[in-house]
Amino acid sequence: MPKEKVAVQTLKDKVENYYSTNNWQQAAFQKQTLNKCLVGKSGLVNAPTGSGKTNALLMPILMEGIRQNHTKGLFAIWITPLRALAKEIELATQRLIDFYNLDWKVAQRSGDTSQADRQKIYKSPPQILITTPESLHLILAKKDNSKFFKNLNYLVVDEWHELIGSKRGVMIELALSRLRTVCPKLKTWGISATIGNLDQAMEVLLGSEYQNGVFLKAAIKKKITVESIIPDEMDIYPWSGHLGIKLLPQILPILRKSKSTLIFTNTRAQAEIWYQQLIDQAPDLIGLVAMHHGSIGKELRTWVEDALHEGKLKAVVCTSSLDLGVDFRPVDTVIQVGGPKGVARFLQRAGRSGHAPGEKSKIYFLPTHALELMEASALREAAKTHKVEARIPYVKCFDVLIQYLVTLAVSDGFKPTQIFEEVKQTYCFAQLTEEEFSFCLNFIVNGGETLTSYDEFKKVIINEEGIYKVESRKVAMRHRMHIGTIVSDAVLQVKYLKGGYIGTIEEYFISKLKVGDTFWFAGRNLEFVNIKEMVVRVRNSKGKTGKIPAWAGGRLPLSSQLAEGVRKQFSAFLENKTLTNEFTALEELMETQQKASVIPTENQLLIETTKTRDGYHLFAYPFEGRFVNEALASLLAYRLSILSPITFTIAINDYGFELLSDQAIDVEAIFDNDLFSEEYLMDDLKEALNATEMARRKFRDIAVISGLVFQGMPGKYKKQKHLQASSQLFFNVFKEYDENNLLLQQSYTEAFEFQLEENRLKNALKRINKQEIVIKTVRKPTPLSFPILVDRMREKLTSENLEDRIKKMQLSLAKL
Amino acid sequence: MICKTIEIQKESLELHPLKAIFWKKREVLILSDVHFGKVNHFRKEGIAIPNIAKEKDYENLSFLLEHYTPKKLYIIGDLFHSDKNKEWEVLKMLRTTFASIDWVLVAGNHDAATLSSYQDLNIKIVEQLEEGPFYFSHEPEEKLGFYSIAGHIHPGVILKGKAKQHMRMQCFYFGKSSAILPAFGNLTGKFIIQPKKEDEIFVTTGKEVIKL
Repeated sequence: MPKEKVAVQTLKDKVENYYSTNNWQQAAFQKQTLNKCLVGKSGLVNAPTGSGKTNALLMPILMEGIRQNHTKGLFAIWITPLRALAKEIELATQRLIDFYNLDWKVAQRSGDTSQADRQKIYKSPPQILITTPESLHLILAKKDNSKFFKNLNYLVVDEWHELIGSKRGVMIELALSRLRTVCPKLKTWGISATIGNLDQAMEVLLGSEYQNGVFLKAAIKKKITVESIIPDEMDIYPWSGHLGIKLLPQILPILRKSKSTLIFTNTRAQAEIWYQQLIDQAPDLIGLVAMHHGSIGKELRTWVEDALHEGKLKAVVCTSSLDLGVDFRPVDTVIQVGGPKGVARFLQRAGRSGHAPGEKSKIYFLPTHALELMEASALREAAKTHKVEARIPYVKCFDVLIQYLVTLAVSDGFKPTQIFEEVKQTYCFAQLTEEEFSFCLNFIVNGGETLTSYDEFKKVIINEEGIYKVESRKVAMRHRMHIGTIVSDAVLQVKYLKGGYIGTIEEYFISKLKVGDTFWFAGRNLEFVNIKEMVVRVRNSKGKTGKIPAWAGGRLPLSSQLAEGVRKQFSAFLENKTLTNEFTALEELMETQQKASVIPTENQLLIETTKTRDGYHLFAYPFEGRFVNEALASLLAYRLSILSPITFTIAINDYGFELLSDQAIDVEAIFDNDLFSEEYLMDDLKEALNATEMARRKFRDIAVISGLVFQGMPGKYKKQKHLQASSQLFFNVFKEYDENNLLLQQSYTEAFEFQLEENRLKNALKRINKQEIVIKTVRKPTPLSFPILVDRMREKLTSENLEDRIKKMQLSLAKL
Repeated sequence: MICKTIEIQKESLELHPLKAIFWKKREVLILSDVHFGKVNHFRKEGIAIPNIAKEKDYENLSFLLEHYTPKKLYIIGDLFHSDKNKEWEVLKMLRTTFASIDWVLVAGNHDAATLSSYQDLNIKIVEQLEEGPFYFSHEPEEKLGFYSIAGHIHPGVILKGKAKQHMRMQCFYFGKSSAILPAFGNLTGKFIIQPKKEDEIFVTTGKEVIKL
């Protein structure tokens, strides 16, 4: 016992030595983390970027290694959600290894790692492996992997807040449930930025170790100032789809006076356009600005990151690909283009500037439509209170469980009783019943059926010892290629004719191009030459015009925190209490709204009706964020449609929704029949859900993750056309013949809980029922309704029969 | 079920909601892109599409054969989706049940794997077929002096309505000199075509054929 105490003190001295040698101060939370690790705890560290969180956990890993005199074999795994972060962590690790003169190696394994390097890592493991959730599962799919993990002492999940609310988080929970059996010494640590449910975040990550867990917080609070870019000229009608380019000239002075600026956009297409326009309008910046997003090849991304570090770049236009992790010290300014949709994300982006201790973070907010200035106002309030969103973990993800079971079957096989016990230890599957587990087993062994004479299902087999295994090499190979939960459209590689990889692009975009067409990608104007085996060949073009690829995804809903903030801002505006720059800028627009209709207060729900060439419109503004608004819209449309046969198309934005029909909409019915009632809510919603596409959309991901539908993988294999069927087809078949299929049920649950955010919805209805409903008939669209009206993304809901609808439509056949 | 009749080259063709054509005068039932065997093919590869999903196609085909009692059945391609699997037995039973009807298969790309086996089922194989004013081939082909009828495409159209409504439907396509049938099999996708003004398009809801 005394001997051990001395050793611990020696280790602490060693750590202190590192910091003092570098003239740094060891932060309190770093010391605490070290102490807790050295007494064998697991836990969660709540620390922002730039606080020294990486070293806080690297140190204990190295010290534990020194204490155990560890030499050979994998000692720690460091999981990062983004490949871009891996390099920084590798460098930090290497610095410490060098400092302590250890005979250790650190390596990365991700989707970018070559086949040869992967083999090398597996055959002679580094002491520290930096990897992603997907790559970790790929290792779990390898034969004999328990040897590889035998000496594992630590698993650290970096940026856990980014993973917990996603299915990638579930992948980590499952991997941990296995590793905790294989490596009894394993300790789990998470690092998370501030989210609304940190305690739950720790419970999810630590699983069975939760009782042994500690929560540590870095006492670092940064001051954040928010400044909106106010247009010199305000349009009365909020524009949509302009992507904020109109305001570009106004940020040029900001760029010029800053050392280095990050310009965050919400989508990759928007980043491409901004980059393009930036060098067009400020040619002096050519060579000093760059672009960074997830579809750009690794080489280019790395170059941009390095150049940022070295302070060679004046500005980088980027997406969430630079949200996380790595600190770029030269960055002193951040510009957010368009609403960030969440407080946490906004604060995180703001935190990318002003790294020196005591320095303020400054973020400029550039609205893409006038009403977003309301969001800016709300964000500033939120930055003061630091009240941020919770990230809700998934429960009972059968699709991920099915994928995981096949992963185990591909490796050495598994015994169901053991794995059942293991997965029950996770937060996600704590409530898993034996029946549900049997469904998953039956799904992979019998394809979800009882044996029939004409059946030939073959995937996982049960051998004589009762081990569940994949024997077919084809099945195994296909499975390995599809490990993961990020579902994208089929993507193609983009390469120069002479070679040279540029990035990936969605097949959908390329399919609309003809040979010789030009398009903008990675900030270059490229000419489409040909397409061969999932590779798009291009050459540089001198042209100035070109299409911009649209990548799917990237449309986040306004969080409830922010939505509430925006509602409050409307009231504040009416009460004239505070006079912010944003309010002054919005005055004229608001006046127009007030004249034509009304500005709703916090206690009112505004409904506007109008008739145009398109038909009869009903607009309502619950200000609840896109997903809840969509649910409210579907609910109202469904309840109206019960009263008489009618077809609606539905458009949504974060502020409100539109119901559009070819028939007049009976607004009085909303009062007469109490259509916002909370009664029968879930039943009605399920019916509404059936009538719209929501569950179907959720099912798309589920079908891919559970292995029903294959995605194209760039350059990895040819499309197996004869085995491709759409998720739609599976959805229809299950709905028609197998209503109790758990995967189908999961799509409803996900639509309810995530898309519809059930609790938020209930609260919203409660609120609406206390509100005064104000109905205004307007002559033409108002400033509030205009952005919804021009949105082209539409849902439909109908209670008319198909034959009748077709007969009304037949004259408008799309004849081109 | 509500059918529609169309006159082509003075021949009367009845379009059935279950995606087949009945040629009245010659008592021929015509359909295309059946893709039997697809369910088993998928299941053999470990993709869990429910077995029961295939039954509708067999039921629909027996229904049509009982309903029209044609002399001949022309399948213009893609009768079987893959190489032979156990589902072949189901097709065989169907063939035995309707032994008195002549089955002719205008071979399609998917039939290559089973080409040699159709003889056992007493199904006649042809590359293409000329009868009366019609020329049948799997992939659309123009043939001088004939009105050609093909499959392969799995055609569908987009319908547009008021209030920004639109939907996608499978369809029968009749152009000036050629026609394309919808895919008979229910486990198939559709390819959106953009017809010209003078083309005639019929969509089917499964209950009714509607002319646009």
